Amino acid sequence: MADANKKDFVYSAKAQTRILFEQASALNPYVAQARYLQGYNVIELMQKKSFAEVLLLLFTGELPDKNKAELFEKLMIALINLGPRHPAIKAAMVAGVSKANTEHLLPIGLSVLGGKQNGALEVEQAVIFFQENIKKSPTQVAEQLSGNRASHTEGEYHLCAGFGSHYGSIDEFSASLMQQLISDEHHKASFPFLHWAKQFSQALAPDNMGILITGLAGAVFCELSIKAREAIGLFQLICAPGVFAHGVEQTHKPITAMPMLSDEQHRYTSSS
Amino acid sequence: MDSTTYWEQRHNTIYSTVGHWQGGVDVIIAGYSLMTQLMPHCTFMQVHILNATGKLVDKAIADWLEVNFMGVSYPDSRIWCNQVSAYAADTKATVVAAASAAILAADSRAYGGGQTTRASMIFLQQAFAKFNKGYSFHDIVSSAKQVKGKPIIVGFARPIDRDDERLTPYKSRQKALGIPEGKFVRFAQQLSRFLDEHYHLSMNSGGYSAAFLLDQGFTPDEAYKIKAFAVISGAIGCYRDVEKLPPNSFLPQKCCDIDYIGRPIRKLR
Repeated sequence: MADANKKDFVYSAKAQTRILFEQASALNPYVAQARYLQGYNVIELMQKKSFAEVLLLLFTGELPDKNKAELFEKLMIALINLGPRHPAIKAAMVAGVSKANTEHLLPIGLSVLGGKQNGALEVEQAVIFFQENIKKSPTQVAEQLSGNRASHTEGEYHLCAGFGSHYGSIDEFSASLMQQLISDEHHKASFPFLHWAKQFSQALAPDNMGILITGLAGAVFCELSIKAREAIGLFQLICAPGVFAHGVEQTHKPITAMPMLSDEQHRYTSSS
Repeated sequence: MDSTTYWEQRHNTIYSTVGHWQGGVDVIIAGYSLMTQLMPHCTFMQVHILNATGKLVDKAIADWLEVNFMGVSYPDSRIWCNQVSAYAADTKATVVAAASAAILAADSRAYGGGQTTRASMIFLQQAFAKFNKGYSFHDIVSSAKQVKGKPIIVGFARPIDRDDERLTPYKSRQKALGIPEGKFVRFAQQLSRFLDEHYHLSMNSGGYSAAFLLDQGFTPDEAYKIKAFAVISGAIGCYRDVEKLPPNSFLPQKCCDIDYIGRPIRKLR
């Protein structure tokens, strides 16, 4: 294809992975007889470990200790349903009621959930924010960021990834979730990122801001040694049940079961 | 050892009957040179149809389909797929994620121009065959699924309004492009008049497009491929409308805007 004299990319002969080893069948090299996830036999994992533990193994390469497994399990419950007013879930719902193919509902919702604000990319940035600031004073970081804030901002404002206002107020539910995760430390585990997030939220409270759901996810992912890029898909993954549940619920209803705004409710103003 | 001949033939090998890129030289699509035959003489829509069907159609046919694409791609975010795109803009997902999600949303049996055109073409093929065997419009319509006394025929009702503003430009553009009215468009118009008279239903954009595509010799599956991304333009427009707004600005809802009808609040045992 390419001129042999030209410099070209050097492509590997094979793809590589550290995650899964497939042991080939003795009868057919295209068939696996066993799978080893991060070195563990999948059948043994099935017998002895929870889904949450194996999910963390998949992304971090190691099985978590009990405290981390419990923390992750709790986060998975916290994020299982972002609520029917989250844009990602609204997108799945509107697609469901308008008779999009059912198999598209989850990808539709997760595409919307991939965003930089209230989405997975904000979680990624929140992980980076925590990693960069964990050794700093939360109060000082809050003061510095608040000082840089534009004087007039209209609508929801995210001071930094994972923190800000939610419909102009503190996100009370996310704050409650954070408080619950911290108070659940029955094994006296110290979760430094969650504690930092709590102090940072307290510093932001006078400005009607605090932790957002994306910040909570970011803090927990830091506790679990989930890397920033891995946090993107993991956030989408653990929010996925609620996205699909709300989307598929609407498929059983007629197309008229959700509002269709009238012409008067859709106001067009020419920009020219 | 089990036989693996089938897979060995394909191991590290791709067989294509569609096209081939010869790096630095040319691309062949269904036997045509992209560099010397298609790029100099064809429109994007002609090449898209070639990729989708293997057929290189006259420019006039491709031009009419562009008009049809305009007709299923309104930049109004009340339309479901556009609403999805606007939600993606609200979370600052990328425009490509928004467009992809909108395309998936419009892969719907109710609207969107892809599945609906395919379904309408299948119906028209079957109905036309029955008509030619002597069945009346009454017989044909009676055999369709009925809801509340009205037949459910894709392409012959709109989910929002009864009158379809697109039919006039479709017809006039077809005439201007010199594309004669074919047997399926004539049949669809007769059927539409019958439905209007008896059920207050009439042909919509999908119905006209389905009949047009049958007249041009496309199969329902080919039409589905041609129109796979037909809604994309309006969806991108609706993304643009929202992308610069702060989060949760597009159609914000109060908690009470969701009508919860599930189990009452209860305690874990």
